[in-house]
Amino acid sequence: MAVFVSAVGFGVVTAAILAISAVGFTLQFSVTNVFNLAFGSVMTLSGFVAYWLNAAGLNVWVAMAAAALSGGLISLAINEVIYTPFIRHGLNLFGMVIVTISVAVIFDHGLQAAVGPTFFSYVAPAGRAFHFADFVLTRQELIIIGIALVLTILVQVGLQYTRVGKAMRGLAVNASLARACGIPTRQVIALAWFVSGVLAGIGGVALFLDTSTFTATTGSEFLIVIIAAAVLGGIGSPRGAVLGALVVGIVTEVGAAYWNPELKDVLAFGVLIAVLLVRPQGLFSRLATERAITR
Amino acid sequence: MRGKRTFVGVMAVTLAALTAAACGSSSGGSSGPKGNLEFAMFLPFSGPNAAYGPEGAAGCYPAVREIDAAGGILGHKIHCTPVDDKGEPADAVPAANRMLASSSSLVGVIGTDSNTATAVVPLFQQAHIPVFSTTGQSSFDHSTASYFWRILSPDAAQGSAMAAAAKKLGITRPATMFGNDIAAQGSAPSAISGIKRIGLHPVANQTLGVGQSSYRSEATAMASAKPQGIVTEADPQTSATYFSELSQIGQIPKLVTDPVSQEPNWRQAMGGAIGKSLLDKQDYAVVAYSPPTSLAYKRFTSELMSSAKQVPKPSQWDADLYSAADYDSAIILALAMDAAHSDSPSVYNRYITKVTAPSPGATVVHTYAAGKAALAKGKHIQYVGAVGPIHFDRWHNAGNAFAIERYVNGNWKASSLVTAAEIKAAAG
Repeated sequence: MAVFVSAVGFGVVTAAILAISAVGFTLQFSVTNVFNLAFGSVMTLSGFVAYWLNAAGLNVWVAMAAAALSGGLISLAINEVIYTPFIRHGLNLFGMVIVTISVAVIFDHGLQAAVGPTFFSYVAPAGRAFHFADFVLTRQELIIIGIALVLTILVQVGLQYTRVGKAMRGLAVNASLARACGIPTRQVIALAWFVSGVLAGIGGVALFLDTSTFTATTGSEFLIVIIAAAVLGGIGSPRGAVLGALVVGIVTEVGAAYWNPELKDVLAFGVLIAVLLVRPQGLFSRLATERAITR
Repeated sequence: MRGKRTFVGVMAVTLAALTAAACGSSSGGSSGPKGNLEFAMFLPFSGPNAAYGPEGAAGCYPAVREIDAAGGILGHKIHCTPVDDKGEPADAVPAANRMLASSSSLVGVIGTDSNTATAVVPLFQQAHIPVFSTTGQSSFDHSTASYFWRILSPDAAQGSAMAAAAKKLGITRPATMFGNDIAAQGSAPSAISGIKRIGLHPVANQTLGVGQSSYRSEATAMASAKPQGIVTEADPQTSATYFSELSQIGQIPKLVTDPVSQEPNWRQAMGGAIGKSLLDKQDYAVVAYSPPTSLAYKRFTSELMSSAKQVPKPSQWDADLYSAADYDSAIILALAMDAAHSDSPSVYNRYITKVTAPSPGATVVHTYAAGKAALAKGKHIQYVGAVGPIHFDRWHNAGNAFAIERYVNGNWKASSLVTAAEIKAAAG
């Protein structure tokens, strides 16, 4: 029982880190229908902004806030400068996926050329250890869980109750109708990219704090797990992304505790496939998956 | 119009960048100026293992500097050409084919690590190009590929040496932690079996999926087992994440590591994760032993320090075993060509053992210039390199003595030797 409790506890930490990024990924996708595989690169770039500030003496949590802002701006810029021209020319969904992969390759390799193929770490002590039943969490991990909780609640409440959140949901369901109703789609889309980038920035720093060390390609390397959490919860559903992250996080940790640690990903992705067999749309999504890209 | 121009512009940039990315830093076998000979550094220069490329370059460029200073090989100047295999067989095979098809001055390959060796060594064999590989894979222990050469001990010997070192360090209750990647798994079986064979009592054996965001459950299990030491090999990212979490849960015991722990990237990642002083205190690296006072080692470091133009921050590689091995590889290739009086690989390949094997009356040389001079006088030579004596067996594998090294005051120092008898006891 002690092993199970401890694995679930650790799973919550992993889930918190995944959830921040998964919510960002799925929020932007739900509004724009662009499957942005450069999301991991935005996490990395923002993570490096935090690294440079942290190396200059700034507290890592303040640096995380700067990473959030830079992530938002980078994400916004990518959409405005690169993606939007392609979308205007009517590039289809698959074509856009290739463009996003290209952007990821350019960013990752460009950054690697700039910073070198080496490893970086934040100056951020894990802090005091707190014992909960049979597991130990550090102050740093508790802060990350808190940040994840606050952000996911903010996103959910924002989508549910604010005017702009309702506009985003409107766009997600039917872009043409939303436009006809007078929703300023261009601004709403821009905001979705910005918020997604903010979450990528925070998620990147949280991930790099968790892995203790990172390179110019670390964000992209973890993107598959982030997407898995988003897909499991139902692509396009922030609430689903949180649940998906919880499932992925807990299953991997319980798998590592009771089974072969080498195969914990096999277990997590096995669960993903099993869920999708029963609910192809994921746990929460009500969105159609065949929508065109939102202009 | 503006939109169209932007579209075309972005498309062009994307395609250009994609092409550049696909090629990486590879020159794809571009040959050097006329009259020059070319050593290909066939290694990852991009991707997760991108540090291997600069590590190999830190061996090749100093060697070429030394060779050219001594007048070159048979009057030819030498070039080290980076060819990016990206550390993936799927990228390495086309890169090798492009290089072989387009380079007429290629006379030797330095590189191919465990991730790519199985895929590309047959291509070099077919093309009759000697390849000095740093792979430790046991599949090459009895390789019949006549153009394949391996200077460093195979992984199985490394694993046995790590088990023997654990015993030597007084660890009676060790644990093992290895990554599940091909590089780390080479030494895992012999380390685990060796630990049992020499009477130690393993308390945990963990194989980790590499590159996870967390290993908390695995670290908790390890902390509960209370090992006196952990025999380990994993990539920098996995090691850093795992040991950082272990340090938060319990204590870091003695770490019995392999040459990977001497690589700057591994130390950078681990130092950032658990702290440099704790890493230095607990790390016991089991590595091929070569006295740092040897003439060849001194020459290697001297040439390395003078190669700052091609090798950024050269001092970071001066204790790197793989850089030293790649340096020796280039020197051996050059001496074999001189001995054969030919730069034709199919001719000089047979001379590689002739310039390295001990034989009665052979002149022992430690530098290219000394070897070249001795050969010019018609003498037989035995090159003893920066990694020590290099005795190739019939399968072109060379073995090494091992030492336990500590990082003290910015330098690696051998604290004790692991004898052949101790390794044999672990290997069974």
